[in-house]
Amino acid sequence: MLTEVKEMSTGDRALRRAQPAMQPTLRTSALMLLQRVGWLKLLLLLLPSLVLITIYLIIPIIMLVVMSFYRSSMFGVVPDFSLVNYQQFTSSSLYVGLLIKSIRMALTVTAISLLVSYPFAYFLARASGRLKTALLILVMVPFWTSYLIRTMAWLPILGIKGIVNHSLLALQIVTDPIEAFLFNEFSVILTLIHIYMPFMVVPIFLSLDRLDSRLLEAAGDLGANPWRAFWNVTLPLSMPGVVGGVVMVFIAAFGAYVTPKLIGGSSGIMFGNVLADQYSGTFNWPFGAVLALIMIGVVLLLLLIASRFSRLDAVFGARS
Amino acid sequence: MTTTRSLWLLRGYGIVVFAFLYLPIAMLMLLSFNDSAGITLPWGGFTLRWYRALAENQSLFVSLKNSVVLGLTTAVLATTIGCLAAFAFRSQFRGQVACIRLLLLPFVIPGLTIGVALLILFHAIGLRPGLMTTTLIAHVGFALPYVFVLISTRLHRFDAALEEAAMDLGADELTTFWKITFPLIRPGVIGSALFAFTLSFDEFIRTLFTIGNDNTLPIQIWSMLGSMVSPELNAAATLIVVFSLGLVVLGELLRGSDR
Repeated sequence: MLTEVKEMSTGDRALRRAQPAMQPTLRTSALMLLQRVGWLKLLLLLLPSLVLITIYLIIPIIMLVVMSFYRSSMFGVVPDFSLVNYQQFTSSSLYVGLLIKSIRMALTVTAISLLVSYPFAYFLARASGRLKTALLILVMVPFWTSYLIRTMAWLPILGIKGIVNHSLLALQIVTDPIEAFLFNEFSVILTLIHIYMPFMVVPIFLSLDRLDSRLLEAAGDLGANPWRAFWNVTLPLSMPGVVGGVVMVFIAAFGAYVTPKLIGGSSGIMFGNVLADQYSGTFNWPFGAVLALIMIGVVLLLLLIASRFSRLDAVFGARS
Repeated sequence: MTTTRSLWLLRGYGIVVFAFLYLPIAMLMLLSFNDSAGITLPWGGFTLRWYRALAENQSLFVSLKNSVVLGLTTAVLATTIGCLAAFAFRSQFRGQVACIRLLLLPFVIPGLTIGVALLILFHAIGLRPGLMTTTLIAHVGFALPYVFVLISTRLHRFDAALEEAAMDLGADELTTFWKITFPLIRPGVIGSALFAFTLSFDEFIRTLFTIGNDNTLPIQIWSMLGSMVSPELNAAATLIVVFSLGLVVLGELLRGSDR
């Protein structure tokens, strides 16, 4: 197949060179050949990734939809077209409440990450030359170490015998160790911020770094004070980065499973834990499919909202 | 005067945030040398015994071997497929934007839902869960969009005039690719492959739902977390962190070497 493509393309290159001297009929047929080769090559290049995405994402999501209409019985999953799983979700204040709580927690993580990351990204963008590259690599590094381990790292810090309590006792700030650091909403939110902050920093940094400093000078020349220049020039121009960071951090935090499971205890539990339980504990696959579709639905809703603020293609680095 | 002061404020702030990002992992590493039975303070002196305990942990070695084999296979497959796709987008074609969006879609779908959905799919078609079957598919699919983006940005900066020159001098398309294009993008390709390896090496949630009875290193750590609390865990985590970091630095050097 490949040699065939090769021969055809060398052939049409020769034709293309000879084109000016050719008769119109031959010229059009050469053009048609060129187009056919182009399409064949394109198809060969794209086919493996399209097949993979279909197996990895498209078919599994279709399976989720199908599964969500099945029924779970004592004898396993029964194929059906039933809305019973959806009703189970909407009629239970437990699940709806957990969904709202998880969205609230993910929003809190996103908001605090944004507030912490923006000045930090600004600091990175202000650094110069090699230092900037080095600092950026330093931000990226934790990003590539397992979030499982970065979550684990908080156990010896926040625990009742942990480092924070140890220090507080040693400094005689408290007389008894504080239990409230671990196994609750607070510890989950803190850890999620720690794990996913690079998702926020990097896109904001990239948009600040691209910013043309002459625009700020122009604003200054026109009489804007630094705050006004920031508010009217820097902030609007860094919006694609902000939107990108917000989207990535929210998705990661909302879809969390490891952190609430390991750090959250019973009060820090999130939507993802109940979803996963349908496949490991209670074995109610159809209901789990409904929960998974709701999770995807929330994410798609967020993308829809985000696309009103910024072009998402630009956010994810795709240029067409 | 005020500007220098605010600059120092900004720098101080930067250092504090870096500390927040790095201190927990640094503490974890430090505690892996702690001669004490618990995973946290008090400090009982320096010891290597947790690393010796690791060396005797047979199942940990099996899962390490599994992780490396899976990571290497994922890296080769994802890089090859991602590279082909990146080349497709050098030319304009109809449906291009839709294609890019499709390729980037996995970025925005939570890993947990993908893990669960893959479990349902593999169960439905009767494919038995295993390291080099179901988990491999999950890992290659996971790594593909990253590799695609990395190689695409590389190709974006690539000067097509070099290829045109080669072809004008009579080289055919494949010769041009192997003699001109590939050597120029090679650091980027190797960097992306290393990167795909670390993605696979650290992956947890998609693995959990697709692996069946096999183990990767993160899955092994997860089950250790449920059953034991000793600095041995800190030691295992430290080794994984050092290993991933080494690869990332190597990848950055390779990617940066021809900037």
